[in-house]
Amino acid sequence: MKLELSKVVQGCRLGLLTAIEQTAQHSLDVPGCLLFTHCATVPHLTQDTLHTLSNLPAVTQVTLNCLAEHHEVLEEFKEGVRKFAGLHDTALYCSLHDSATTNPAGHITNKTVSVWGSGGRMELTVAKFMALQAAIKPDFYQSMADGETWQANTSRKRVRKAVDRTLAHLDECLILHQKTQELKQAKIFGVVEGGDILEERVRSARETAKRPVAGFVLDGFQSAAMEQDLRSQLITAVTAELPQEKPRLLQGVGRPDEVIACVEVGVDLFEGFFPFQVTERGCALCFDCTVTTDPETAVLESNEERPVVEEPKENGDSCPENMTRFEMNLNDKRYREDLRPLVEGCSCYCCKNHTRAYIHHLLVTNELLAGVLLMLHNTAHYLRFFRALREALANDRLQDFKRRVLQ
Amino acid sequence: MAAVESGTCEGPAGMSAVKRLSHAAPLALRILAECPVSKARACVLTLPHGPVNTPVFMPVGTQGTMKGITVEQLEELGCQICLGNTYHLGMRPGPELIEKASGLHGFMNWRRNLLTDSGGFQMVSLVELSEVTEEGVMFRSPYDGKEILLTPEQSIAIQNSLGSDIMMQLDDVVSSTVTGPRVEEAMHRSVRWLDRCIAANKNPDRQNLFAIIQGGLNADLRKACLDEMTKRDVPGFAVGGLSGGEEKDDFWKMVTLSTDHLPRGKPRYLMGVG
Repeated sequence: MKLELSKVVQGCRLGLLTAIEQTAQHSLDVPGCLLFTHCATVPHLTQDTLHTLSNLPAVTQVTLNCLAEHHEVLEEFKEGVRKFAGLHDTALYCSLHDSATTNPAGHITNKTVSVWGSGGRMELTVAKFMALQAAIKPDFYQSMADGETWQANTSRKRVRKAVDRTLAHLDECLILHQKTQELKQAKIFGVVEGGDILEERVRSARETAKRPVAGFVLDGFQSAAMEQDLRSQLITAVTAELPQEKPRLLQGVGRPDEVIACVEVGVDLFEGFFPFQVTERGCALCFDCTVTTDPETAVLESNEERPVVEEPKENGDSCPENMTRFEMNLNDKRYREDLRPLVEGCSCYCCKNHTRAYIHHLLVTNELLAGVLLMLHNTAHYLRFFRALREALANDRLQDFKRRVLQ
Repeated sequence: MAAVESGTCEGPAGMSAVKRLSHAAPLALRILAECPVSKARACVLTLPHGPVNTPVFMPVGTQGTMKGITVEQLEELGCQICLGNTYHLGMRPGPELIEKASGLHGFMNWRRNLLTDSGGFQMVSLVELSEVTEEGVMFRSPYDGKEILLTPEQSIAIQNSLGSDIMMQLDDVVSSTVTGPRVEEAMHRSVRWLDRCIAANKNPDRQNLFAIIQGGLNADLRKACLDEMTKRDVPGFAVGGLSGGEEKDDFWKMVTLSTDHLPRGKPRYLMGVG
């Protein structure tokens, strides 16, 4: 696995993550996001509908909470979860938790972490964790970690314990990784913990960087847990301790404004759960993510399709919980007779074929197709955002891009 | 729009055989092959939104969507005609909005054929406290508790707004397990309602209204219904009032009786059978 940086400007890194797997066919643009799945399927989508989207991320993410209960079957299957789930040709990253759901706290011990599957809580030791990875066969995965520092007023003692445990787990994982035939081609990422305590963050980063890992997962920075200012401060301190040539994957952060801020402090990769969360509340992403041009190229670009930003959203009747300013609420009665596409100029299947009125109708009548169409649009819009972000970085237009996204 | 063939259809045995459609119905049936042993036949039914190969099973897209699949997927599966449900769509989002969106085809973006039922069946099966009179079916809306009367005219008006390629008459539906005078009453009323539906159809040039043969499990009543309804100038016929839990042995007898007396040159739709 190799991170080729083409440009680093004021902390923002632009480049390509290559040779992600043995066959070296997949490369992932940086900064970029992963393709989010539940149990190795993109929620609401099958291979048919998924592939109406162009330029999918080269890496698909699976999470242990869904897969742990299928351990036996996966072991017997022997060919890993990518084949088991009928996934397309993609590289695979396995994380411990699913950032779209919050787990109950208080179940972590010195030797175990817990994940919640359909049958309830499952306790994982490092041995069990690694056995699972062997059955799943990801191309890279995070080591087992204690990230339970997101609750308000987590004590310093608790944060220190999280850092210590995570390092101990990493060392154990590394040993078992060497011994596991099925993981010979896989890479392991170390996990940086430390809650909201600067010294612990630095300690965790420094110590993790000493281990032979292929990259770093930044954990405990979940959107709900922390204000962006603090997050930026801590990540700046963390990335100062990490080698430049290894990728940094930030978990639990997906909102566009937070993504940009984290790119500005040296994050390379993000999870792709945000479009799914937007879909689940019946909303559609509609924020402006165009890159402005200089006057010379303006003529050329005026011919291209550009999504038009939605009018300012006043709170409609009963705004969904957690709705952000980057989206529109299709449940709202105001869309009942609106025969326009979700976002003018968007080239996703939903916008090319359907209207806001139709989506609204599907939501009102509780139809499955609502999820399919919204997921397609939200994923397309989010991927377009990352493409535009990279373009803005390449052309030194980040501040302008940031202004448009945040307006 | 489909090219229209004026078909010949045979009336009941003994009558002068040829009946022509009095106006250009937007439907043509071409019989490709007929089984030498049974009454099975393979046809191409041409409707305003394209051809339909029969026999055909029509997927049910109740609320303007096939559950969970896109119209592109549906097309790729080879579906040539699917159903929309007049009762549900009439409730939500309502015929005015759908008409504004260029009909149900436009609203759901389906470019092939659509068949809509009359709304009558849902009303008697889904809704408590529905009452049938000569005027129509009276029921209480589950959405807002208001009393609604669905008449043949209103059913056709909604279906005209939906713009389906095939519309079903509003019939007086009785469960096949019911016996006695109610069955006969329903059969006669269905004939009268057919006439009202025919009169109410604003778009005979692009929407095909099908009659629905009733009569329960009574051969005499079925035959009487067939005699009457085949006198009407409709592009197609459905066999209704079956598949409600009756014995299979009774069921097929009514079906074969019906097809014995339905015109060869018009399509036959057996309702409620999948």
